[in-house]
Amino acid sequence: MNVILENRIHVFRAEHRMTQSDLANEIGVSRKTISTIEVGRFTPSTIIAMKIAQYFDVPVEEIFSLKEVSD
Amino acid sequence: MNKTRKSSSADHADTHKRLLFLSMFLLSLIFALETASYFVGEPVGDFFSITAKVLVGLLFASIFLTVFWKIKFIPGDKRYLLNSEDSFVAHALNRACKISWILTFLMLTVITVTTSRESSAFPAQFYINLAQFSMAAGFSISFFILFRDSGDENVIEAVK
Repeated sequence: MNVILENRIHVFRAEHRMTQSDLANEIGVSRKTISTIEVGRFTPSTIIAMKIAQYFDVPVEEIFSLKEVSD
Repeated sequence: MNKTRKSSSADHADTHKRLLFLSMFLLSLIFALETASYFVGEPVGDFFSITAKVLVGLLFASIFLTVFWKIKFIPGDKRYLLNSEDSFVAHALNRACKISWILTFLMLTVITVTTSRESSAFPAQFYINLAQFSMAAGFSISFFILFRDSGDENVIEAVK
């Protein structure tokens, strides 16, 4: 069984009325990094994941979760 | 919604790496011409030589632009972003390096197997140019494909 990393960044951005650029500036990464994390093209490092969670003031698990997918 | 925005240092670091990719692509074209010159006659060879000189000029321009971009847009306290592994562009660069290494290794292996030591029709310089072309082209084209734009910025429309 394979696993993928799902995220709810776009939901939290919507709640905070933020663009990808706004969030990228807040945590010190490029807009491209945020957009590729959102669509699942790039798996973020633990540091980026924790920075995002810290910024929204929620546990990492509320933003990122593992989903099992069949091979 | 205001569409204009000021790029951050992280965005400029991304652009810096894209300029690096452009330099590598120009370098790959120069090596391609050097390699191809072994297969053509004098008139076409002269044309290749002139084209290669133009490409060398463009390569220096792109290297200058890359250095200028770093000095102009990335302040000293943000230069760590250029070496940071915490970005999609660094991830794409690493994958492009891996792909170019594999392609070059496979190509050299095929050449080694198919070319006997005594009957090689080309000098060693030809194979060195070919390997350099393979590495630079493999890297720059892979990076371009991996880093291709994923679309416009996802502007928030729905709010809870």
